[in-house]
Amino acid sequence: MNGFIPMATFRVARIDLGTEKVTEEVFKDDVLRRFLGGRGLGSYLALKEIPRGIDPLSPSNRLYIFAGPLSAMVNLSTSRVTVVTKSPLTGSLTHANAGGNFAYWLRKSGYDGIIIEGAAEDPVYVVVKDGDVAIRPAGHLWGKWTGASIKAILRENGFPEEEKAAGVAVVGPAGENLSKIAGIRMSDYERFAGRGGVGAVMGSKRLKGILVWGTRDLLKDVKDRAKFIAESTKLAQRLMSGPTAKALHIYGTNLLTAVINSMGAYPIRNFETAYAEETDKLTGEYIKKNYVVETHACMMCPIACTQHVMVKAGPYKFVGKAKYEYENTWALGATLGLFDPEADLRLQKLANELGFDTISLGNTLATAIELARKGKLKLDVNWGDAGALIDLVIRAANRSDVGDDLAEGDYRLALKYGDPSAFKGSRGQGLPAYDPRGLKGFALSYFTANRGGDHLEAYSPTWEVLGVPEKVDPLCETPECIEKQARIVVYAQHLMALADSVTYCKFATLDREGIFEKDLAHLFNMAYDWDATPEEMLTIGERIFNVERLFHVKEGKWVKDELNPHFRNPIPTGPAKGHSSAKMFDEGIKIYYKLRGWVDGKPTYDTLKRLGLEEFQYLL
Amino acid sequence: MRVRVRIMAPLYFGLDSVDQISLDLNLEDGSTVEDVMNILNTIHPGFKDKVIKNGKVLDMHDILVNGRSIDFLDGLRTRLKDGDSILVVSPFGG
Ligand code: SF4
Repeated sequence: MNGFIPMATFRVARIDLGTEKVTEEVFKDDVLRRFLGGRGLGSYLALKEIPRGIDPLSPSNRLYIFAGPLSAMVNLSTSRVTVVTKSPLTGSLTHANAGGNFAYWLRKSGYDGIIIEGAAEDPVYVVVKDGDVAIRPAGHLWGKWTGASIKAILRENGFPEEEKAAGVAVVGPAGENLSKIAGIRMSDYERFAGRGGVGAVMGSKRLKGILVWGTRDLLKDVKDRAKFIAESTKLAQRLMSGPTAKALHIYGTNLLTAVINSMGAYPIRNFETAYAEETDKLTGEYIKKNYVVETHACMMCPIACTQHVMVKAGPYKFVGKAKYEYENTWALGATLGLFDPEADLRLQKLANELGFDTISLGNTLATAIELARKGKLKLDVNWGDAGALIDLVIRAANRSDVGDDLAEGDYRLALKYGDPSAFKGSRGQGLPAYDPRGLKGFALSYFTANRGGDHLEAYSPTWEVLGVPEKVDPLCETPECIEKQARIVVYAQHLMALADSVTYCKFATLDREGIFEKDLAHLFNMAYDWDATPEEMLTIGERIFNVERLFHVKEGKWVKDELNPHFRNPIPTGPAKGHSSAKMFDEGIKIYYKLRGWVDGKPTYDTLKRLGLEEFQYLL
Repeated sequence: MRVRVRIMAPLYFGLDSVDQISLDLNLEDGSTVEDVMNILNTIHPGFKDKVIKNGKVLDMHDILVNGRSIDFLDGLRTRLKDGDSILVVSPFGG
């Protein structure tokens, strides 16, 4: 090999927008083999660097926008990017992951990650082209919606106005106006690093956008290029031979509406119940038939699950196409008591253009309606009132009158108007589109998720419906079932932490033919001459999960896992009527803590030692 | 007795419909999920093989009766009653 030593390296551009100073840092095997990239490396650096107790919207917060050491190198859904920061919504660590092409072009640009520090005085955007970093004025783009902003940034930098031409990340009015439920939109197309208010952090730095582009050879550091390509192609073929890839490709994520509603775990009207008769027109099948105009893929993804829709006529028509998903359809539909698909898709388009996290936006609107109906919040809005909801979304983005409260998100809204029970979430963030009383794996996974209100740190339908790795009855509460649930949640939390750090799409972990720790070890060993075992890969996932928890310990916030009291009440109607999350959580959390080596949500010294995290023992 | 049957993701199962297929069936008392699958197979020839192999529902596929997987009921021998709702579930992701 002519003295060539294959080694993973991770180049980061650290950009201080206050001083306009750019420095380069390179992480090597010693760090990467412990944290990989993406969410893992981001969380590790955030824990070390972000001072305790800072205001997340102050210049001292940092934004870690990281690809991973295998991102965009193989056709295995690997163009994923993770954003890590201190969340203005939850007040502690968050991570948000996006597909599209940003990770691909980021790595092509010569960097694997970008850290944004400080804050600019006036709006700016950052351009990274083949290793050169430039900071450009963006006052003329401030206030523009996300789609127009991406086009303008592409045009101004000599690219055609097509999102595939380069990687672009932007905030919309929601992020600019520091809405705590704003996300970051990524090319290509309407992809979002959504959760935790990461868009507000970007807005607080007066950073409108980031363009990345370049010509770097991503396989340059790989030991044996031909073998690496051949082996990863085999893995891609195996992934595509599985049935979930096929179903996802044809219909996208929204096949879930029919399954989850039929099981009685589909949250209706802010989790009032978990089943509705009138969901037929929100299903992926109905929307495919009537509104889907094309299927799209994130870069380097053979699955291509993305569905683009248009509503061409009627009161809810909109210009251009929108990317739509199961989560968005629920958040801006069923949980608002809205079952009109055209109004729902219109709200999704609007949320994407204004730059919201659609899940938290839906949570917030649902909370507002619940408060209004209880007479706590003076607002003329009711379940399913599409016209009023569209108006409220615009107000939230602009922070005009009641929009100023909505922009703060569901948790603060419920507290401000004196009814914490209207908040249906964990760790300050609202829950997604599954009721944890009807899919009891979520009773553990939602309320232990480090970023709060989260379905993707451990996705229980994988084992509760698809039966991967083994099938567990979603309503069973015997000691054996509770033990199994706790064990699988822990495993899944490690695997998902890996996915966000490698990086690759979690949709490649749903299928028995998917990509798991064994395949990851194989890929890393081939690429970088590591000798990692599957167990070592999972330990990396565990280390990452513990680092995130240590951030909560450091902040003294959200350390102990708690079940939101609403889910102690039984579901009042539908197929899972009478079920609650209480037993699964109360019994399961004891087993979960034992498996983790935690006491009351906090890692013990022995656990830190086992994971090689002694440097953080001062936090205990 | 009368039951309602829905087939999710028909295109995935190779059927000629984008939207869900929904039908009400009149069944003899004592009919099972397997009987329903046999009827569906006469309406959509070959359909049964897309869901069942060697007497079992295919891996990562499912059949729900009133929201419960037949894996946790009596499998394909699950007996139906008047008003039951059956969903043939394709794989998915989200
Ligand atoms: S499976 Fe879907 S979301 Fe995941 S990378 Fe592929 S296209 Fe993107």
